Amino acid sequence: MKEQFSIPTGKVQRASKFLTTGVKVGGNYLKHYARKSINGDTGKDQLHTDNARDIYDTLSELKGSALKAAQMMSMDRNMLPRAYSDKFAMAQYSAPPLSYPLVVKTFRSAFGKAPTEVFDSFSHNAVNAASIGQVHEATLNGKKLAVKVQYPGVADSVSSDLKLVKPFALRIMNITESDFKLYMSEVEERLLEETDYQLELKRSVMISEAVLNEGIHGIYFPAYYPALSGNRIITMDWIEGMHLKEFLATNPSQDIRNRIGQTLWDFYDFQMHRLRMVHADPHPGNFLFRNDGSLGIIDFGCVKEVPDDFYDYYFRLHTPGVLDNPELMTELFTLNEFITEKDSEAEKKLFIPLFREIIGLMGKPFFAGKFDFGDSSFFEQVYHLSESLYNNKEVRNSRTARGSKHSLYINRTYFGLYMLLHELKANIVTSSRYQGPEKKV
Amino acid sequence: MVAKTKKNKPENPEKDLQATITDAYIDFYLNKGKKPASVYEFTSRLKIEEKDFYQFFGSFEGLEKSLWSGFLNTTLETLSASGEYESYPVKEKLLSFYYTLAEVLKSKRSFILLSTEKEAELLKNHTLSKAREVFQAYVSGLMEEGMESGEIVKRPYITERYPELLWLQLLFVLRFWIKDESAGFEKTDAAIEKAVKVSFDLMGPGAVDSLIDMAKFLYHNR
Repeated sequence: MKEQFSIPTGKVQRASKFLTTGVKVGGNYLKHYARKSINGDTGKDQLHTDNARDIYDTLSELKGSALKAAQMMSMDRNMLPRAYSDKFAMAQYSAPPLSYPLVVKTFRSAFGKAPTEVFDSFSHNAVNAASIGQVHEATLNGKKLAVKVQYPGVADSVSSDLKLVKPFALRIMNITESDFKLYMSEVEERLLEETDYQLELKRSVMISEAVLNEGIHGIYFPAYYPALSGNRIITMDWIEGMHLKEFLATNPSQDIRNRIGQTLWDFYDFQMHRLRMVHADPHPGNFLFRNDGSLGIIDFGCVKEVPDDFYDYYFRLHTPGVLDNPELMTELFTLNEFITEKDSEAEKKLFIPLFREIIGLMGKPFFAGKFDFGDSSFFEQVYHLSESLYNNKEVRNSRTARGSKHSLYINRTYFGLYMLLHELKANIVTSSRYQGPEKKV
Repeated sequence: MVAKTKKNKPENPEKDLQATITDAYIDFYLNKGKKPASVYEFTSRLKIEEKDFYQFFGSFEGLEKSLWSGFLNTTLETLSASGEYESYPVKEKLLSFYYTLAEVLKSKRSFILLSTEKEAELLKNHTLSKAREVFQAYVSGLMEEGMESGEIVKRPYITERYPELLWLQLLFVLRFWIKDESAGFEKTDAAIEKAVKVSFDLMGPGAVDSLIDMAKFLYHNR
């Protein structure tokens, strides 16, 4: 069976690694249909798993923005069936580390000095890798610092990396090219911002100060040092804390889990409604947990600014009662670009109830006022819904992208937040303390 | 870099004159867009005697040859003057070499671009022959050090070819740098990282991953 569907080698050799996977995925579909013709119905799960594995294998060899895009897709589980997203979720940032001489060079062009001249001590090797750079440990005047150094030429490669993702994303998302462009331009914009360390520094300082001034309980940030930062270097305090996995391994009490979960929720609530800009990368590596129930937040590389009009119709939709008011609901669905002018009556008939179901489910924490994220049944429902959406032929055959491009990162942020809270099994108050347009700072 | 230190040391007038002649040659080349017609024309402009020129160089080609080997010597001097360099593993020594060389070349970039444009073959032909000797002597030392430290695996027949292969790598970096249009020549930095990683992965154990990484990088950028 296998040989029959093996990949034509000439093609593979000519193609880049990425194209290779495209071929492989095609092969997996073939395999799937072959199996189906023999066994009648085989679960699509096997197919998804095969595809996800091949895509993941390729992506794990890619660095930088292609990997980021993959990770992003893995966060937005609405977009991907479960097997894909599970594989993608495994993707770790694994760019080859910058050599020490290059770090020295980067320092020399920023400060005219080697890192060992700028700091009292500076680790020869990176202590942590990131998709577009790495973190070194340093000390200055007895203070322990984290110094992030960016890989050269990253900004230039963002666009070309995204072009590489395109054939896959198109296949997986099954939307028209023009709709795809709309989403990709949003992704490209965020990724380019992420390579801008000056901007990241500015936003880190701005958001952390605003949150501290607000006095959200139990939250801490590193202090940032603009004088020790540059275009490709950011220096901040080294902050202590455990990653989520380590933290959970210490068996924190329910009380502590709730407290830390509440802090996390309030942090996002404040950013969304007051600052109208959010830390849009809620992946576990960006949070540090402590046993006293406090939460450290690092990495403001990916921040989504929420435009006023989008804010307005997005949160109006997530208000209790809206889904029971057909007229208002349809109006808000149109504003949110779930349905468009171009849709036929049949399409409207198909999608309006579908989106009602999606918003009804995904918005549950908003509508409830209090929510137990430890409740697995909620997440099972989400999986089942996305799986059934994926398997719905009519939905799949509709090649219109639905949802505003701004929702891409906002949904990702909320879903990432849900997942973190789920892992924490936190039971928290989810009604907003800050919602309301008049409260914007 | 060379010129500065030499101007500060007038006790070596011969070296000083050599540098003056070299600088004047580059200056002429850049301003006129071509070599001087003859050594005679060049030296009379400079108001020195023709024989003073031959004291250092046999011809303009000879001058360019020692200019290039001078770039490498300056690089090596800069490296040994930095305290940290000696403590680096061999791979990082070679990386530092390239980064320092790129800095040295930067100050003469216009000349290098112009002369390589005029003579597309420059990077291949004998203009670099002296530089090549300097480089190969340097990397031969590195290779021995690497084999002692275990960074480089001793392979019969192949190991002796390493200095030559690394020379090809230097030419690759040089060509990449000449064509590099990125701000601060960041792409060259990335090219150096990747090229050196590949060569050390090939010379050490475990190669394939890095080769793919570099191929992909070139696919993106060229």
